[in-house]
Amino acid sequence: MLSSYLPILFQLVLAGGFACALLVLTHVLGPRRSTAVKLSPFECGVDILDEAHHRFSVKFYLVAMLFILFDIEAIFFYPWAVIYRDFLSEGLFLLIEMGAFCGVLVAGFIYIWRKGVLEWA
Amino acid sequence: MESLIPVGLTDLQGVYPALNLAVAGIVILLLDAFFPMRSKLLSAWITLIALHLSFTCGLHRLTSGMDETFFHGAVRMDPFTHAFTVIICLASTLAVLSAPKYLRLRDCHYAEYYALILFSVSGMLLFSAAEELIMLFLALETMSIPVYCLVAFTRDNEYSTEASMKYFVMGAFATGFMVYGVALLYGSAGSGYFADLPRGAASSPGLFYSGMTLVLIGFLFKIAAVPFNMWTPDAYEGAPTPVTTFMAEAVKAAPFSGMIKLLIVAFGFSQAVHLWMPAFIGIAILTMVVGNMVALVQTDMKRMLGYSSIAHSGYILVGIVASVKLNSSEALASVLYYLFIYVLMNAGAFGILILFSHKNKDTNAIDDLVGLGRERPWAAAFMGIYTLSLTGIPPLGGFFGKFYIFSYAIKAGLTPLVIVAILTSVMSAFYYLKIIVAMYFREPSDPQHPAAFSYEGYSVFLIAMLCFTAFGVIYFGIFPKTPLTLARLAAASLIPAP
Amino acid sequence: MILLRYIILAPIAALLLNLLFGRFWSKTTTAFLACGAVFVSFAAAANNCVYMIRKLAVPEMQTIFDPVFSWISVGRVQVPVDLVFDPLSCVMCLIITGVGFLIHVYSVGYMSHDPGFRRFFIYLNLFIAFMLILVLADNLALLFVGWEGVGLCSYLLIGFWHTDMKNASAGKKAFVVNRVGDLGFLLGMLLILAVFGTLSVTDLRELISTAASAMTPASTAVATTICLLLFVGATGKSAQIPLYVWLPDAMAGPTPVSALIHAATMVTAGVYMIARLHFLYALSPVASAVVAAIGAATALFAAVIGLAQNDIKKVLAYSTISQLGYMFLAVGVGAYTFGIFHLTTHAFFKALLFLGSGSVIHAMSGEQDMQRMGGLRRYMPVTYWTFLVGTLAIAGIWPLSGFFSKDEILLSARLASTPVLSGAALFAIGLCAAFLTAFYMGRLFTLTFFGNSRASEETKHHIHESPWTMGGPLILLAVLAAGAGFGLRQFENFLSPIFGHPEEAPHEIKLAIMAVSLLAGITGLALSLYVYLRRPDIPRKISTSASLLCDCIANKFYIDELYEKTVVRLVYIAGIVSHAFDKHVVDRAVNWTGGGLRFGGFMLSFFQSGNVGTYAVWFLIGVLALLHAMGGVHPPPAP
Repeated sequence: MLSSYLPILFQLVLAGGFACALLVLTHVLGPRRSTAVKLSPFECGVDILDEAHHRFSVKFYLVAMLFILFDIEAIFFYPWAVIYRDFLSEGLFLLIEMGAFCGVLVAGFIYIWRKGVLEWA
Repeated sequence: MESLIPVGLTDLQGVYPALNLAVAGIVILLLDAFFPMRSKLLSAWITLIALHLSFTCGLHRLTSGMDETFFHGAVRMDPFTHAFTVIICLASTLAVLSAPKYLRLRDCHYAEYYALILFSVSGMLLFSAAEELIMLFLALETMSIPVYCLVAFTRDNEYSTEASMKYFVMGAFATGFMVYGVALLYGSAGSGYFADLPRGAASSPGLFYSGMTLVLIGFLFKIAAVPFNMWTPDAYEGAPTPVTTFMAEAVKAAPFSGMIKLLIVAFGFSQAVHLWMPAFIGIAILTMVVGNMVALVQTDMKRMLGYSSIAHSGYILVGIVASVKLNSSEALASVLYYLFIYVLMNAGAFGILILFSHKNKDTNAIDDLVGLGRERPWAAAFMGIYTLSLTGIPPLGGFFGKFYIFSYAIKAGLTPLVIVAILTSVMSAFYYLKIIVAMYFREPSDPQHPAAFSYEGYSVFLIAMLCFTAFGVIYFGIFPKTPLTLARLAAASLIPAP
Repeated sequence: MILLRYIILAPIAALLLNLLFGRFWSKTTTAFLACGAVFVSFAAAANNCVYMIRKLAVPEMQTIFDPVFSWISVGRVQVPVDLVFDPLSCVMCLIITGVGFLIHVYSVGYMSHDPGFRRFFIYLNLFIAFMLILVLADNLALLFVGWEGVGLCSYLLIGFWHTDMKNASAGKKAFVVNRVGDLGFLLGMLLILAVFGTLSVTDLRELISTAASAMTPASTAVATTICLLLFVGATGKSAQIPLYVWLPDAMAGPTPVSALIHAATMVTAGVYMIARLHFLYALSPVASAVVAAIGAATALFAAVIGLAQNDIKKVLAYSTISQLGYMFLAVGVGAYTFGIFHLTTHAFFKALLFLGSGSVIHAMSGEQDMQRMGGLRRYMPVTYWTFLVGTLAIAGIWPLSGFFSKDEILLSARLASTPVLSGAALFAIGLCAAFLTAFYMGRLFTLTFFGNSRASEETKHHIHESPWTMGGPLILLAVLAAGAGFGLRQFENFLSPIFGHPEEAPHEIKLAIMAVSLLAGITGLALSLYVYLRRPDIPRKISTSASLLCDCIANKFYIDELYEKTVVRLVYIAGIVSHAFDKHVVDRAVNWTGGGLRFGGFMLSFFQSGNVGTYAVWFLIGVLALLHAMGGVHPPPAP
């Protein structure tokens, strides 16, 4: 039973090992010439304006959260789209189901819209 | 030929009670989005109607004995599920009835309250139906997440938000363990269906039993068994009282339903029982002792009722252990009956607190009730009924609930456990009677200005709820036949007669 | 035919309505509801009575049976709530609801100025309901419920004006003394249950009728024990020697209460109980003889005490005790029909007398001492004439009802022969008591209504005839008290299915006894009239010349003091000892346990720090412990 998970373990080890190896290699092989400019957070020629730890407006979190929510919902479209063709023979049921799913999403969307969550000001 | 599409209309019809609530919740949200001024009371009515529809549907299915599986066996609608549909819908109705006036007093009467309740309840209804781990987990989370929000519903109140935060953190913690357990179980058995799980115990017992433990820990957290109970008093105290009502009854009964089903269907084979039963007995004893003992020193009613609800979880655990040990549906029926009565009396006790809550302050301290018996004889009498029933004084429902559970436990040979249970019930009389003493026998500390009890939380909804619960506690105590018959019907679907 | 439960339900419904909503409506509505409910009960009972009379020819129609529900069902013991309506309970029901209705109406006037008006009617209705349960019960356990219930109502109503310590303690006394009797009753009941395995009177009757032929000395002894234990209960409730002491004090209650509970209905419960279980008493001649002897002794003893009382209600109270003695005498010698008949007539004339005295007291602004009354004849014609009827009836003057019932009892006593006292002795005692009854009633009547008024000027100014709500019941009761005696033959017939037809006595004895008892009544009345109207110096002379005896009588033979010194003192000492035990042993144990538990809870509550991190740590500890206990650490071996 457990043996069927072996490839996954192998994959994990491989991925982890590769990342670790790269880190170690850059550390070991790369030359180190540090200057003040190089040590600044953003080495792109623009002067630093402010501290990096800012307080963001709460709106930002709201929008971010909503983005994640809808983003995750969108993932469900992929498997549906992949298998849809195979079930054409079954009639419109699958389409209606996706319609219902979208309906729930839209209901949520309407709700947040009407509640004014998306208004930034 | 079997349809290729995994899910059909019949499946949706099968979960109608839950689906109906979810749709009603969405309708309420939309309604609120478009008519924010008028949506409040309308939402309350929609909620009540939706709950009523689910309730009648559950009752009808229970009496007609429907027993079918849906979603490829992930959901099984058997009489046991229907019984819990009935209990949970009833409990939620009581909680909803207590809410509108209280929320209005706190200036946070929003339609979202009802939507959240409905979403949570739809999760609960699937909880008792789930026969598959993923389904179980989904139901658990659908039930829990709205409750985290509900606890923080009076969001200007720091206690409320703090309670919500604690509850959420601890809840997430417990959920983590549970998911881990689910993964281990799935890993050992290669299937998430309850019926397939015992396979895992044979092939890889280490994984299986660890997984079983972790999943059960998730449940023990939800029912607030010691030592996973720490969140309960804080959350109960901080939450708005109607939400506390909801938590103490519906959110309490639902995990029991899932747990009982899991214990009997998935972990009901003898090796597993040998492992979890001693642990459960220990936990039951701890729960009863700690719950009752700490309740003794509480001065805040909500906190006290929180501890008392911990203690009651202990009694119910005794009933579950007894019914598994006896393998008797009659014993399990007594657990269902107990939950039913527990819902009624707890809702009533919180209802009285809501009745006397003020605009900015709850009437929660036991000292606040001094002189109630003289000032408001009716309310005091009702409160007396609930507390006496919670104590377990005949002929009220609470007594018979305990009586049935304890007598089956004795039949199962769990006499030491019953002795602890009875001793702790006696202990509980101390703090329950403290309420009665405060209401009837204590003089106000300032005799010139006796406490004024104004019915600020009064509403027709609440009065209906109080009358129903008081009546139910008395009536179903004296005539327990109807609920017991239904409970037997339900229990027999889970533990078939030998 | 009307279902029996509705007879009881009517007063219960009225009292619930008055209790729950009474404050929302006026006194008139309260009174109307309370009286109406009793009248409805009366109508229902009367309806059933008519039904029964019509069916009297058919033996199996003689009882109406109404199984209400099953109350207790523990193993072998079944206690159903069954109501049964046979001629005996029919008579009782009619008395309770009929006289009860009249007294309710009377109370509307009597209590009209009382702040506790609503409470009073609630208690009265409760009393009626319990009394009906008592007489309709088929099961002794249910009868006991009624028995205790009327005791409770009696307690509540004696202490109705509970702000006065005297009244409250009178109520307490009644309650405590009754408790002593109830203990006997309860023991008797349990013994019945142990011996026969049932408490249903109907079943008992059948059991005994089949078993009666095979009596052994041992079973007779058992029957005697049961009967005597039950009789202890009866002496408590019906105020017989030695437990009669509460009844005179019970006069502290409002006068309608004295009339209803302490004269007409509740105190006759003991007589009813013995009549109901007559088949049991028939098994035990000794027990019956004890009943007769105690009854006769009480009749005489109470009559003697009644001679020297000055409080009008106290005289009537002792008279009630004495008349109850007559009833016990009757049931003791097996004349159940006449016992119940005397119960009925007594209910009429004693209720009449009490209500009359209430009317007098009402008029005299609460004065109860007869030495301050007098001459009321002129002021209160209705009260005067009705009271006259009552007095003649209780004195046993032909053709009023008291004559018939008393005469039959004396006749039965004369013809009886018991193992304890001979029939002649019983007859002699009864005759003496009859003479004394006539004498003290004559004294009461004379002092109250004749002569010159001895009241203070202010009281005199207030004297008035009572309103129609009080006068109406008086007149109706007077008619009943006067005429009821002529129904004797019909009454006998009606009760014959239960008690059978009494034997016909030889004609000459009958006539002789009639003459003698009539003579006793007339001489008693005449003598008292002469003494107190013409020669008021005679009583004074007697009291100075035989002061010791008179003191003794006036102080009720110091029985109360005797009880105080012996029984009460003993109980009190036992109380002190057990109080000390309770305080120093039991309380401490409880307090220490409670304290220990509280301390434990206090310690445990430290775990509840409010810190989520701590919670998580405990959670983790729990997880580890559980994993250790049931997780993968020690997986059980696969089978």
